[in-house]
Amino acid sequence: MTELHFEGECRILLLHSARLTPETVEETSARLGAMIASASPDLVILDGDTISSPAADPRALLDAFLVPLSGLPWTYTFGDGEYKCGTDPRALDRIFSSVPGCIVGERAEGIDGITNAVIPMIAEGTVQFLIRLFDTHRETTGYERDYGSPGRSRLPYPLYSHHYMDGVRFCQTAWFDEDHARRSKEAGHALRELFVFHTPTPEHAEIPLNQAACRFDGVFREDSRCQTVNGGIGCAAAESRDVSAILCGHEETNDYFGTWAGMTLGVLPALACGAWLVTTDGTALSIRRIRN
Amino acid sequence: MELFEESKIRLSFDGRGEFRLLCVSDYHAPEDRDWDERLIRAEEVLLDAVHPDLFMILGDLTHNGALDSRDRLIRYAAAIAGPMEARGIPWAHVPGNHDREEGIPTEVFGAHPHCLSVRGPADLPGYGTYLLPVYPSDGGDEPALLLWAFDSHRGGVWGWECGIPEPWEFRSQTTGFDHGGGVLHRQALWYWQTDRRIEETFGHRIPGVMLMHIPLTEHRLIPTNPSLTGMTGELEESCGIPSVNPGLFAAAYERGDILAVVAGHDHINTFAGRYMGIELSEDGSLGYDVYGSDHLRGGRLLTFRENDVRAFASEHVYLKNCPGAADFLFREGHDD
Repeated sequence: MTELHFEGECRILLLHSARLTPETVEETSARLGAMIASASPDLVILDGDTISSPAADPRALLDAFLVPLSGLPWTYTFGDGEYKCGTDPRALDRIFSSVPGCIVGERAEGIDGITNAVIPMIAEGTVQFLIRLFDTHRETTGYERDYGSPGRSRLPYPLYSHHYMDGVRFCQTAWFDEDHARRSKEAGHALRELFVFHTPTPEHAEIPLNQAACRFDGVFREDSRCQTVNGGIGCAAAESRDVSAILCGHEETNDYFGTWAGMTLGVLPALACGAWLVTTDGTALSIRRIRN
Repeated sequence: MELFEESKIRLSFDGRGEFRLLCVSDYHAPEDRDWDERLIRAEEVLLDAVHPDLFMILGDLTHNGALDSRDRLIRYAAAIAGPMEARGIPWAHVPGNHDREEGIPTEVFGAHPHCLSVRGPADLPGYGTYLLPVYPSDGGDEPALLLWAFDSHRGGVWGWECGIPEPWEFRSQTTGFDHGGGVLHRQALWYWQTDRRIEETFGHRIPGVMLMHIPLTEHRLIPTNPSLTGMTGELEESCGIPSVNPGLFAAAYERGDILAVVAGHDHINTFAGRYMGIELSEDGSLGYDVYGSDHLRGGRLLTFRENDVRAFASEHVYLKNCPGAADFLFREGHDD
C-alpha cells in the first residue's frame, strides 16, 4: 500500500523511540494502546528508534508492539537505532514493511538511505497533501564513511555541544526538490507537504534559542542533538513555500515546536514521555500532546 | 541546454600546465569621487606580481549609494577594469551584498572585453550565478577545472524568496547573525544538478572551486578549530556568515569535486583551512574606502597544476610584500 485515504482532517499519531525489547514490549504496547484510544488517529507514524538494541526476533517484537493498532494504517522511518541494533537495516526494513497495515509509501530510488518515501494523502478523490519520510542514517561515521577519503577531517561542530551527527543529506534534499516539483506539476498546483524524520535539523535547534521570535511552545530539557553538517532540507523546505511542518524525534526529553520561516518545526518527545497528535488538512496544522 | 555558456575568452591552463586564480574583494566605491586611485594601483601591483590567468573580484565592488548615477557607475567600472584590460588579463566578478543594494547590472562590467561576468541561468535570482570552465593547455574540449560563481545576495532576499513578510525577527543564536544574505538553496540545487549533468556528459567528475561574496556557514569552523583545520592567515573579525544554511557545503562534500570555497565580505580576515577535505578561505579586502587593514590587504591566490589539479597551492598574497607597493600602501591615518 502506498497511499492513504481520509475524510475531513487527517489525524496522525506521531511517536519515536519505542526502543522495543522482549522485556518492555508489553508495557510499551499498552502505552501505545492508551495513546490510540485517546487520539483516534487515521495514521500512526513510528519516527525512528523503534528497535535500537539487538533483537533475536524483531518481527515478534513489532507484532507484539503493534497489537493495539487493530488494522489502523501505520508507517515508519528509521532512526540511528535501527542502524545500530545489529540487524541488517535492509532486512529490518523488509520485516517492518511486511507487518499488516504498513503503508510503505512510494520509495525514493538511487539516494542515500532506506526509508525515504512519499505517502500521498487522499481525500475526495484527490491528493490533499504529501507526507514525506526521510532516512537520517546512523548517528556517527556514516556520512564520512560514504563520502570521505583519506585526509578528510571530521570535526566536532562547535556550534553545538554534541559530537558528529548524520541527518538528511543533500542528495535527499535534492530528491525533495525534484520530486516535489514533478508531483506539483502533474497535479497542476503546488502540493503541500509534511516532513517526518528522526534526527532534527540545525534549524530545529534554533527554536528554543529564539523563543519569542519562533513562538516556542513546549519544554527544552536537553541540548539539541541535531544534524552536524547541514544538508539544506530546512532551507529547501522554506524556499519551496509548500512545507507545513518538519517534525523530528531523536531527543529523549525535549518536547517543543515553533515557527521558523513560515513552517512549524517540532521535536517530539520519546514514547516514554509522550507523543503528538498532529491534525492537518495539509495547510492548517495543530499539535496536541498525548501524555502517558 | 548547453552545459557551458559561450564565453568571449576561453580560459585554459598555460603552456607550463598552470592556472593561477587570484581572488580579491570588497572595493567599496568611494562616495566623494569617481574612484580611488590607490585601489587601481593596488590592482596593478597585484597583477604584475602574480600574473593571474583569472582575476576574480568577489563582491562589494560598490557601496550603498556611492554611485548615484549610471554615468558614474560606468566611469567607475571602466576605472577598476583598466588594469586588467590594459594587460589583457581575463577577469570576472560576483555581486556582493552592497552591490545588490545598488542593483548593479552585471552588464556594466561584462561590457569590458576581458570581463567574463554573466548573469547565468535566467531562472536563478540575482545578478551573477554562473560557471566558468577552464580547459587544458592542449586545446581539448573537456574542462580540467570548473569555477562556480555565486551571487550571495543581500539581507532580506532569502526571506522574500520564502514569502516571509519583513521584518523577520529571527536572529540565529548558533551563528550569531540575523539574515544578512547568502547563497540560496535554489543555487545550491543548480550546482548539484549542473554538476551531475557534467559528470554524465564527460563520464567523470571535474574538480572545481566555489567563489562567492558572503561566506558559507561552514567557514566559521576554520577559525574556531584552527589546529584541526590547519588554519593559516589572520582572523581579525568574526565571520559574517548567513543565519540560514542552504546546504551548499553538504552538496559540495557529497559531490566530492569541490577543492576550495573562497569568499570575501569580511575585510580583515585572510584565513584558510580545511574542513572535510575542502579548503575554506576568506580573501580580506582590497578597497581603501571602507574599513580594512593595510597590513592584510591583498588577495587569495590558488595555483592549479594541470597534471594534478587536486594538489593545488593556496596562499594569501599580501600587497605589502609585492614590488612597487610601498609608495602608496599606507593610507593617511590608521587602520580602521
